Amino acid sequence: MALTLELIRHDVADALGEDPADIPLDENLLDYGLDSVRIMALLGRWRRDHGVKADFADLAEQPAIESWAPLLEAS
Amino acid sequence: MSAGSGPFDPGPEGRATHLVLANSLGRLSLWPVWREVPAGWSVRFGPAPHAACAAALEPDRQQD
Amino acid sequence: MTALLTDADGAGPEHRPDAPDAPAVELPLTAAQSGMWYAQSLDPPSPAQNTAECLEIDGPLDPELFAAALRRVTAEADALRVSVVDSPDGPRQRVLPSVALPLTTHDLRDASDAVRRAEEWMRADLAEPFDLTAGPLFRHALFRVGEERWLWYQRIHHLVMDGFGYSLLVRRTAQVYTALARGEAPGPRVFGTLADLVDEDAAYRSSEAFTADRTHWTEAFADRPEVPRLAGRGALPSRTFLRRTAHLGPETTEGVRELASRLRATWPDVLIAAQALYTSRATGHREVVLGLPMMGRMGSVSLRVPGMVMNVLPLRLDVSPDATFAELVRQVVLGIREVRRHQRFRYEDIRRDLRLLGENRGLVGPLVNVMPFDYAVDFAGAPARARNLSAGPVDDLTVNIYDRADGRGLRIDHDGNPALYADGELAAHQERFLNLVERLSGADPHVPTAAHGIATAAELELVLGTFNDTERALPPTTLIGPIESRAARTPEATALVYGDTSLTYEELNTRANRLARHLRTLGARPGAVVAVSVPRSVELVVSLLAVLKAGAAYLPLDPDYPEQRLAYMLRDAAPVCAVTDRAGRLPEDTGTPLVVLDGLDVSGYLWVNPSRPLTPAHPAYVIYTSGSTGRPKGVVVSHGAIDNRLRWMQSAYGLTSDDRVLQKTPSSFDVSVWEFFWPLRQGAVLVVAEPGGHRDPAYLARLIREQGVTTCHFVPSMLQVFLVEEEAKACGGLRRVFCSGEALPRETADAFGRELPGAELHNLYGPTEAAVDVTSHACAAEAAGPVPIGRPVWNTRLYVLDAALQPCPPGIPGELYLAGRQLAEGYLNRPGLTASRFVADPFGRPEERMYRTGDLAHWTAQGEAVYLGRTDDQVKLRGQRIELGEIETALTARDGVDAACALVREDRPGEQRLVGYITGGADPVAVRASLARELPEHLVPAAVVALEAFPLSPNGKLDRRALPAPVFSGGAGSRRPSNAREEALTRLFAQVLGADRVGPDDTFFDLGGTSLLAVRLVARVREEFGAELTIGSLFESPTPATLAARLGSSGPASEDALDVVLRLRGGDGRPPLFAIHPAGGIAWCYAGLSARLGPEQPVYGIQARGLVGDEALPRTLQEEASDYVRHIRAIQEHGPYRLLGWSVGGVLAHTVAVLLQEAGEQVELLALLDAFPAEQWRERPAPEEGDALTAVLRMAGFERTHERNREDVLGTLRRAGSPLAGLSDRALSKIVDIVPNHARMMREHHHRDYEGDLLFFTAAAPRAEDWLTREAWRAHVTGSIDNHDLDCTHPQLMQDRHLDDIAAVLAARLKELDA
Repeated sequence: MALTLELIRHDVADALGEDPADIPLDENLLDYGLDSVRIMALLGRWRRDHGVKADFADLAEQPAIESWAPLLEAS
Repeated sequence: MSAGSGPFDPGPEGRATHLVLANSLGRLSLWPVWREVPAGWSVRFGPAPHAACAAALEPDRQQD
Repeated sequence: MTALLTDADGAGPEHRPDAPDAPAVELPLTAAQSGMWYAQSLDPPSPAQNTAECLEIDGPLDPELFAAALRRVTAEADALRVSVVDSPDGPRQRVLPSVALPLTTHDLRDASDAVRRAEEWMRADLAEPFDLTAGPLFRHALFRVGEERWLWYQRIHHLVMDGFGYSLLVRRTAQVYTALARGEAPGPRVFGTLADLVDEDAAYRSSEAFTADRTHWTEAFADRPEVPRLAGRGALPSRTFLRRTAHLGPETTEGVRELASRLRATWPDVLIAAQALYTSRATGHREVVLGLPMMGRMGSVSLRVPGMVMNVLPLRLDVSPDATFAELVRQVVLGIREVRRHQRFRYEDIRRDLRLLGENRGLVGPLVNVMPFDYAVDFAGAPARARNLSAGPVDDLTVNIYDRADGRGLRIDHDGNPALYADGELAAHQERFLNLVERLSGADPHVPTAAHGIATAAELELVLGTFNDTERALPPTTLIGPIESRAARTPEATALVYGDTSLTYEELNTRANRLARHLRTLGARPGAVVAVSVPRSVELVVSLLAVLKAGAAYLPLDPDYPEQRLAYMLRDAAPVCAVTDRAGRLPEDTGTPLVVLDGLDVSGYLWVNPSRPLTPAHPAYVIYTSGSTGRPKGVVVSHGAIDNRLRWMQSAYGLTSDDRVLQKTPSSFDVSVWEFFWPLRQGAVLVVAEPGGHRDPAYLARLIREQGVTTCHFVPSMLQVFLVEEEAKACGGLRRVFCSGEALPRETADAFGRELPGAELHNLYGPTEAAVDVTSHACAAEAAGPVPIGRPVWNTRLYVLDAALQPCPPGIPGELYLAGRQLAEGYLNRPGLTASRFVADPFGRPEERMYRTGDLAHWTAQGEAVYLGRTDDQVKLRGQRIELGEIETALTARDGVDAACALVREDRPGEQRLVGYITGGADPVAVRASLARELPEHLVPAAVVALEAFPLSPNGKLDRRALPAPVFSGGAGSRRPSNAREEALTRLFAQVLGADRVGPDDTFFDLGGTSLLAVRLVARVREEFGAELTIGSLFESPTPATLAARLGSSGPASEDALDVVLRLRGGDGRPPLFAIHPAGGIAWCYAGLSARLGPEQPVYGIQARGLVGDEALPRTLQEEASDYVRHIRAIQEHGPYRLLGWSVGGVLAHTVAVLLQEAGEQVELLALLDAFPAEQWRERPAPEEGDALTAVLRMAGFERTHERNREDVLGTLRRAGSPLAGLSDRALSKIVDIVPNHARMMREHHHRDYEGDLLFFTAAAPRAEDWLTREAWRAHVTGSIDNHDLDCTHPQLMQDRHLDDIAAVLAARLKELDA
């Protein structure tokens, strides 16, 4: 099953313990408390559930949902 | 001038940090509110700030 | 081992550069790398900076393709091709265009223990250091340990690689290998360059963010917090580390993850919080600072650069037992968020900015290194699992946590610095940590963390059960009952020896019974208190027994205590009566009826044991101890408690009727309780030392030897002093010695073993609040380390508890709590204090209490307790318990003192001194003197230091460490020593006192001299001069000058200073100067003058007779003067004579001069110092004894205040350490007689005429006696009066500044006479 922008946002919000509505698409997620452990956790989940190929550095380099979408092949 | 922060030292100003316990022999014990009350003892006073517990222990205000 | 090599790669590193030759690039080191470089340069052969990892690959692997992949990755990763050279501009890294691949391959398929052999190889390799200048700074090994199982080992110097860097290298290697295996192109290089890292580092360090980060860290740690370490101390990093590996099982791991998600945190947050909780409890620090290794790459080019970027940052947490675990996790989450904002600022820079480097202080305690790195890789389908082998140097303790998502749960490595942790300790920390995590993961996170302890279930059973298995059924007896039975069984046996007196059990019992019956008429009965204030003597023992026999509890009142203190205790305890040896001993205005033994006839009372309804629950004694808020508190101990203590002691040490027990501890200290009563319960002999004898090791040694003492007690510091006493060796009759009261140093225990090899040494411990002692340890020869306080006595439990009142496992320090039968009832009339120190016991039977000692201790694995210090301001000084708060309260109560603090300093090893600090205008010398009148001697600071203001730490608290050492430097503006003996003595004084400089007229006790230091000084003087000298003589002659004079004079050492003739300076040649004593009869006051007149001028002091011996005091001045003429002529048979006198001494000098002239002798000098002829006094009322006391006090430099009688005066002198106080009570009493005698004789005297001139010195300051005039001498002098005015009062004449002037005039006159 392919990832969607909303799904990414949902998972990110979950990892940060925030409401998805409070997570903007274009902001740097590090400012919202995203850290390497959470990125790894998200990556693990997306690899397992969605066959994502991106690696840690890909996500950590541009930590924003908009930037992640193409890397995660999300629609 | 000691800065105590042990279980029986006063806590932050105004916080209800302590209890006064009593046993059947009439012995009294100060006790931190965060620790389970030992068997054979019951709460006589509190939770209340340390100073209030101290006052409750010495009604005639023979304070140390 | 033999490496089985594959054909392709040959026998070691190969040389097959991948890239064409190109010039090396030279770059500076990044800040991160510099730290590593310096660390390595400190110890070049150290392998500590090695990092290593092992990847297990399951599946077919082509070693050649693998080597090719490695070669390619090496070419892509700049950091691997680096070596470091030192240049004039500092270290620089050279990036070579290519390096040979250091790879060895080993085929271990045929070996039965392939993995083990591979691991051995790795371990050996890990111990090899890299040469930074030579490079390469990495190496690989590939082990084939099975048909389809491989181990890929890589070791890299930490200067070029960190943990995240490894994951980049591994991912890329797997990617390249997979491509090669599939015959595909591996794709373009993905790594950034090392130059990118260097540039980014430089950019940061010159950015505003750098400045802002620096400000953040400097402010956040401005108070430079104490770093809690599990080992309790720090150490330099070792070359190796210890590692224990464990796994948090899948269930617990899942529990942790669930808990994390419930708390809106991550699993590392939960584990960091758990580690903070563990560290806080294990170190007893509420605040902990953990070190967090941070990958430091988020949002940075370094995400794509394998290299060294990571940083360690401090996470400061407040771990309070009342906070919930959820709150703690929240603190971690927010704390890390804060840290992350400033994570580029280097750890080394924070330490430098906080000036921790110079002091070699740490910034963080344990490290929690979470490594969630991306290792989801495979090698052409063969899955791989990474295992870290070394994460770099371990300063203290590092907890590495890896999430490898391999179904085994979280792997946790505890790495420890072997200089700080033994393997077993590290294992224990790990086991407890995992156990704690397991419990936390299954518990409600919203209850206070106090619910969780750090001990495992097995440890709990050990420390609460096994170590405290002390229960013994005992008969319900009292302290006194067994003594009465003993007296009935062995009436004729000797019970007590004091000096020449000895009493049988029957005699003692009878005397005590009669007094007991008398006390009963005054209300003594079970439950009542009777005070006893009697110096050590037979009467003291009789009195204590009598009180107990009457059923009452005794309250010992030390007769040496100041009146104010005694009055307080009498009012506080409200005894039914007070027994004292003579009138005037105790204050009379407290309403307590006094029983004065002197003159009391109790012979009419029945001699048999009185009956009394006494039970073990009744109080046996009340002993006062120092109170932190300034009020001493009375500890009430029951018969049952002390009976338990004595029964245990008898069972442990088996006293018999052959034993003789020394009683030397003052009755106001509870050690005396067993000294008094244990021997009397067992039919042994009680040997009572003289009052004051407990201070004098030579006396004690003599007494022990002469009286055949077998059993005695020493406070460790006194034992130390005793053991160097020459006579101690002769105390071979000692069978057992008990120590308690303060920590027993191992060195002292060892010295004991050497000096008294036939005796046992037992270390006991216990507060007054638990019937003397609750633990014991028999010292063994050959033992090392701190001497434990030992195991609990019968029916007694020890708990070592952490800040949450949870038991500490062995080795972990906590506060010591006591429970069981020996607990005191509480503090007399202090329910609040009692309820806060004697608290509910969560581990005993229901309703039991435990006593909070305030002592820090830990259990040994064998079940002995070790004393570690205090949790509060209470200190022990020479075995005596002191609440600093009490001294501070007393200091603050002085006029002119704004604020005060007190502490015990040890400015020189082994020499502890109590020092008070004050602000405000008060004169510190006067403050100390005034304190001496209110507080018992042991509570009076050796020095009081006046400060402008107290030094404060950055957070505004008093910075005790910054308080200056008291300067015990005398000699300011004083004269030089005037002979070799004085010079040697000033040197010895300075050495023993640790003073920079000591003048010949400085007083030992004013320069911080203590009784223990006095013992040391006397020993040194004996060594150096071969002279016999007692402690008493130092009290009598406390300055180098007076001591020199004393050593120079012949005659018996201890009394000569009081003989009629006191040779202040001997020598012949010039006619001596005779200086006649003032009103008190003592001529020591002329020592300073004598010293100033130079070595050529002999000076003799003339002192009143009767100070020693039983001679009657003279009846007239004429008689006295005639007496002196005889003594003077015995020294100098004929004139011309030189005479001098101050005050009454001047009147006497005039009289002596007249007598000499009448005998046909010539007097060439008569010098009077502020002395006035008899008729000026005649009409004035003669002083009463009271005024004499004022005079005595003045001689010692005090104004009289509360002192009512001579006892009070002596007490004041003694407490103030006045030289006069060293005089025997007898001599001082004599002085009190001599002063009024002189006053009377003066008024009755009639002067005859002196033929010649008078040299006169006037104390010219205005005085009350304004009718005194030197002109009155004109009637009694034929010549002129040559007067010299000095701007001072009468008593000040003999003070330094004025003595200089007087000496100058005198010296000039003497010179004229000599010419």
